[in-house]
Amino acid sequence: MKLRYSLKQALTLKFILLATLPLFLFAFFTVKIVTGHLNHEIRTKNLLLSRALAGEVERFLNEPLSLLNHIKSLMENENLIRPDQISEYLNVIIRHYDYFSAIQILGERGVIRHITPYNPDYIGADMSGQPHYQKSTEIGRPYWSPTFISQLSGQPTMTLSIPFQNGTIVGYLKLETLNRMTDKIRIESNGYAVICDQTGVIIAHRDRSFVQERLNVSNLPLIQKGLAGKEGTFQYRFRGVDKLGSIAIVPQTGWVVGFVQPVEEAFLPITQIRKIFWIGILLSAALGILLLLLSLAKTLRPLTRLMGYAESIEAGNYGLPTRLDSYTEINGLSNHLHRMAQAVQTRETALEESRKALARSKADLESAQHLAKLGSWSYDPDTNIFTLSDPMDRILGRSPDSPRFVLETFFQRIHPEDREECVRLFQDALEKGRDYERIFRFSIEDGTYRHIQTLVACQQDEQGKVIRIFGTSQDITEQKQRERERETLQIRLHHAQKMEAVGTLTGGIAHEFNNLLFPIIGYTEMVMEELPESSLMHKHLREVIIAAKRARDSVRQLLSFTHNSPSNKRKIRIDTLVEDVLKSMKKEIPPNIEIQRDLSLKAPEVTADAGQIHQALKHLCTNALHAMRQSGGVLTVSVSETSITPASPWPDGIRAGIYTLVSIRDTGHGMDAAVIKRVFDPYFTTREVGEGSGLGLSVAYGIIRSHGGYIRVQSEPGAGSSFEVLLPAFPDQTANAEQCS
Amino acid sequence: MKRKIILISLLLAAMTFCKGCDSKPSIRIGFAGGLTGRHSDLGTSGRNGVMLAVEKINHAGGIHGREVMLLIRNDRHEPDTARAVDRELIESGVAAIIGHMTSEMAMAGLDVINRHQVVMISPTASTSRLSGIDDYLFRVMSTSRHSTDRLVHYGVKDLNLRSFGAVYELSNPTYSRGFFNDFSDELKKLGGSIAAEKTFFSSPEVHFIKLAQDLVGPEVEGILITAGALDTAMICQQIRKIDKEIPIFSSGWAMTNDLIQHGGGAVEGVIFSHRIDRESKAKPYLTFKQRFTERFGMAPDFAAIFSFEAATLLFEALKKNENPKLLKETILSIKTFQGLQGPIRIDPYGDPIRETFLIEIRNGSFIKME
Repeated sequence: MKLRYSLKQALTLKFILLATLPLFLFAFFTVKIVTGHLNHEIRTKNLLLSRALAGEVERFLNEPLSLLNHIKSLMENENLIRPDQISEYLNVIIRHYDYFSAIQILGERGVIRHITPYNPDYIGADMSGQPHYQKSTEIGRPYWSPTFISQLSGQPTMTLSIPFQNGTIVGYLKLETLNRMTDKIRIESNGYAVICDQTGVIIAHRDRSFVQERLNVSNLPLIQKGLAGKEGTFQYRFRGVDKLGSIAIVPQTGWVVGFVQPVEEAFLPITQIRKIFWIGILLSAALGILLLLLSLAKTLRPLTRLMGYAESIEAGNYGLPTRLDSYTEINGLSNHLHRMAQAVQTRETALEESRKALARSKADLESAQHLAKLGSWSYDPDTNIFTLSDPMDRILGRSPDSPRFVLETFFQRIHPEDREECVRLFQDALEKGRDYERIFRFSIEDGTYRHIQTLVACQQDEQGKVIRIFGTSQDITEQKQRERERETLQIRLHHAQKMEAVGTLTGGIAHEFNNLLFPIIGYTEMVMEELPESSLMHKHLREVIIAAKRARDSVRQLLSFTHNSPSNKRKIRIDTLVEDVLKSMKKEIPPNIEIQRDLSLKAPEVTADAGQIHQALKHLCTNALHAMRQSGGVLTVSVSETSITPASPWPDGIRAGIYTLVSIRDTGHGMDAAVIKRVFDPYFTTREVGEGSGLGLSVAYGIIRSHGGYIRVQSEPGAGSSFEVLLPAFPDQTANAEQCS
Repeated sequence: MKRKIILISLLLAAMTFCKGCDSKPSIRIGFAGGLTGRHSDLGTSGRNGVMLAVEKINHAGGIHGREVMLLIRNDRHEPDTARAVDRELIESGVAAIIGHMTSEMAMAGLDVINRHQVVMISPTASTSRLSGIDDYLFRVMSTSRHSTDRLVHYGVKDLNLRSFGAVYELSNPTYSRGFFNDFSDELKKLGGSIAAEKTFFSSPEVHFIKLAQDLVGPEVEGILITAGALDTAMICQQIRKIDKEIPIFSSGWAMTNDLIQHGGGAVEGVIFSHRIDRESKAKPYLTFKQRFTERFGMAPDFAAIFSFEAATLLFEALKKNENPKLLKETILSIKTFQGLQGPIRIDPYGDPIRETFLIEIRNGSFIKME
C-alpha cells in the first residue's frame, strides 16, 4: 500500500531532514575526528605513563645494582674490607639503603658465608638450589630472580644476585618499594599501575594481596604482549569490564610495567565531549526544528485557510471571508479561489435552475410515462442484462428486490403464442441491428399477461456490431381492452339498430298486415256464412280463413318481437313457469333427449307477463330440442339467482342488481360465430324450409328485452349451446344509477 | 520496500542487542587455600593448577556452553579464616569449592560445607582422620597412612633403621601429628622406635639449628620431618651441618619446588612416599606439565597436579549433571576418573585410591625410586 502524506507532513519531514541531516553528518564526522584524536592522545598518554613508570623502575633497579656492585668490588678486593667486617658492613647498608630486606654472601658452592640481618641458622646453609644462585652463576652477571617465598620472612620476595670472584652476592629486594612506586601512579579513581616479573607474577599492585599471593597473570592478553616484548596500549576485557592497558618493558629485568584503566574511565573525556557535543547538536537540531515548525506553520496557515475556503465552497458556502494577505502565490491562489467561488456559485445557481427544470421535466415525463404506462430499457449483449427504467419496472411489476432481468427471462415471460416471433425479431435486432416495433403479451410479476407495445432500436459500433439494444415499452392492455369493448359495443349497437330497424319495419308491416288481414278474415267469414258449408266456395274460403289466421298469428309473433304486443305483467315465479313450459312440451320431446332440471326455489320472483315469458322460454327450449333432435342429448334447464356487478361478464349495458337466471343448455351441434351473430335475427334459421319460421329466437329476444332482461348465447360448433336469460328480480333490485360498462 | 528495510533494520538491531542474550550464566566454583605465608607454596601451586584447569575448560567452550568462573580465596592457613572464606564462597553461589590445601584447613571447613551441603574437593588434604566419612568432602590425594607405612617399611626393612628422630610442625597438626603417629605406630610394629620427638610452629623466629641439634643424636638412625617445604628445607640445612649422612624422611607436604629451591644440596637424598611421579611419562601429565610451565614459568608440583585433577573431577561431574545439589551423588557415581598419571578410583566416602611411590631427591629433582 502506497503511503500518503499530507503536505504538512511531507514538508515537515523534508525540512527536518534538510535541517538536521547536514547537522548530524557534520556532528558525526566532527565527533569521529575529535574523539579519534583524543583516543590516540589518551592511549599515547597512558603509554607514556607506563614508560615513565618503567623508567622509574629501571632507575630504581640501578641503585641496588650499584650497591651490590659496590659490595662486589669490596668482596673481590680483600684489602678493602676484612672478612669479619663484612657482616657489619652489610648491616650498615641494610640500615641506610631501603632496597633490601636481606643480603647474603654465598660462597662458591652456594653456601651462605655472610648474611644480614644476621641469623646463625643460615650461616652455612646451602643455597645452591636457589634459581638466583644457579642463574647468576650460569650467566656470570647480575640476575633478577622471579618472586618466591623468602625463607627469612615467609613473604614473597625477589632477589638481585651478582656473581663475584669467590661467590655470589644476593640481595633480597623489598617489593614494597616497588609497590610504593606504583601507588604513586594514579589517574582518576580506577587507573592503576601494575608490575609483573618476567614470569607474569604480579610484584607490584595497588591490591597488595595480588603480590602477596604471587598471582600470575600471564594469561591476560595485555601481560602476554608485554612478556612477548611488545609495548603499546591495548584494549581488552577482564572480568566483564573493558580495560585500556598500556604496557612498557623494564629492559634490565624484562619486567612488564602496565598502566591499566577502565575504558569507560580512560575515555571519559571523550565520552563527555561526545555527550556535550551531541547534546549541543541535539539542542541545536531541536531549536532548529522548532523554528522550522513555527515557520512552516506560519507558511502553511494560509494554505490551511485556503483549504477551509475550499471546504466552504465544497459545502456550498460561497461567501468566503476576506482575501488573504500572505505570500504572493497564496494571495493569487486566494483571489482565484474567490473568483472561482463566485463562478461556481453562478454556475451552481444556473445548474440548480436547470436541475429543477430537469427534475420537473423528469417528473412530468415519469408522470406521463406512468400515465401512459410507458417505460424504457436497454440491453447489453456483453452482459446479457436488461437495464430497466423505474417506470419499466413498475410496468413489469418488478420491485428493487427482483432478480436481474436477463434475455432468457424476457423470452420466457412472453406469451407462448407471441414468443416465437418476438424471439426472432430480437435475434434479428441482435445480429443485424434491425429496429422493430411489436405488440406482444408479456407475463408480469403477478403472473398476468399484459399487452406490451415495444419499440426497439439498436446501437452499433463502427464495425456494425450491435453493442446495445434499447427501446420503450408501453402497457396497452387497457387500451386493448377498451378497443375490444368498443368493438363489442359497436357490434351490439349495430345489432340493436338492426333489431330496432327490423322491429320497426316488422311492426309496420305487421300492423299493415294485421290491418289488411282484419277485413280479409272478416269479409271472408261473412262470405262463408252466406255460402253453404259444403260448397266448394265455402271450402275455398275456409282455406283462405286458415291462411289468413296463420298470417295473423305470424303478425302477432312479429308484434311480440317488436314489443308491440300487449302485456300483462305480474309477479311470477320463473321456476314454476319453466316447469309449465317443460310440461307443455312433453309431447314434443323425443325419447333420445334427456331433460335435466335445476330449478332453485330460492330464485327470486320476477315481474313479467307469464304468457310472454312462457312463450320465450318455449322458443328457447324448442330451439335446443331441435339442435339435438337427430343426435339426442341432454337438455338442462336451470333457474337460479344471480347478482350482476360491474365485474360480471355481461358487457352489454345491463344494470347491476339481483336477477333470476334461466339457463337452457343443450348438447347439440352448436353454432359457429356467424350463426351466433345472426341467431336472434327475425326469419334467420338454419332449419330446412318448412321446419321453422325463423321467428322463435327473435320473438324470445324481443320478449326478454321488453321485460328489462337480457339474453345471451354461448356456443361452439359440436359443443352444444347455452342460452342464458336474466330477468330482474321483484321488486326491481337493480341499481338505477350504475350501469355495467 | 520501505517495510522490508524497516524489518531488516529491526532484525539487525534485535540481533545486536541480543548478542549478550546468548551467553548462558557462568558456573562459579571456588578455590580456597593458603596463598600467603610460609605454607603458601601449596596454596599458590594449587591455585595455579585450578586456574590452568579453568582456563583450559573455558577455552574449550566451558561446561555445556557455560563459562566457569573461578573465585579464589586465601584462607591464610588459619582455621577461622578458612571457615569464613568457605562461607563467603558458598554465599557467592559456587557449585563447589576446591581446597583446602592442608588437612587442618580442610577439617576446619568441614562443618561449613556439610551444613550447606556444598561439595569440597581437597587436592592435598590427606589426613587419615578424614577417611571413611560420608560427608561433602572429596579428596584426590589418598590418605597419608599409605605413605607412612611405605616410608617405615623402607626405612626399617631396606635401610635397617630402627630409631628415628621426628619433628613435626604444629600449624597443621591434623596432618603432621597424624603423619607422625601413623609413622610411629608402624615403626613400633616393625620393632623400631622414636628416639626424639620435636615440634614447632612455623615462623621466621624458629631456631632451626637448635631443633636439628635436638633431633640428631647418637641413638638416632634416621630423621622424619613433617612440615612445610620452607621449614623442611631449613631443618635439612641444619641437619646436614651436623650429620651429612643421616637418612632424612619427609612427609609429602614438603615435596614442592620450594624445598629444593631453599634446601639446595641439603635436601639431596631426602626420601618421600608420595602418589606423584614428577618424572612420569604419561601423556596427559606431560601435556599438563608443559602447559603449566609455559603458563607459570615453573614446573608443577604435586599441589598443582592434584589441584588440576580435583578441578578435572569437578568439571567431569558438572558435565554429567550441572545441578550442584546433586554434585556429591554425581561424583560418587563417577567412581573412576582419568588422572594425569592414570586412572583414579574414588571410594564410597569420596577418597581416592592411588598408588604410592617412594621418591628421593636427586640432583635437585624428585625422582621415583625403583
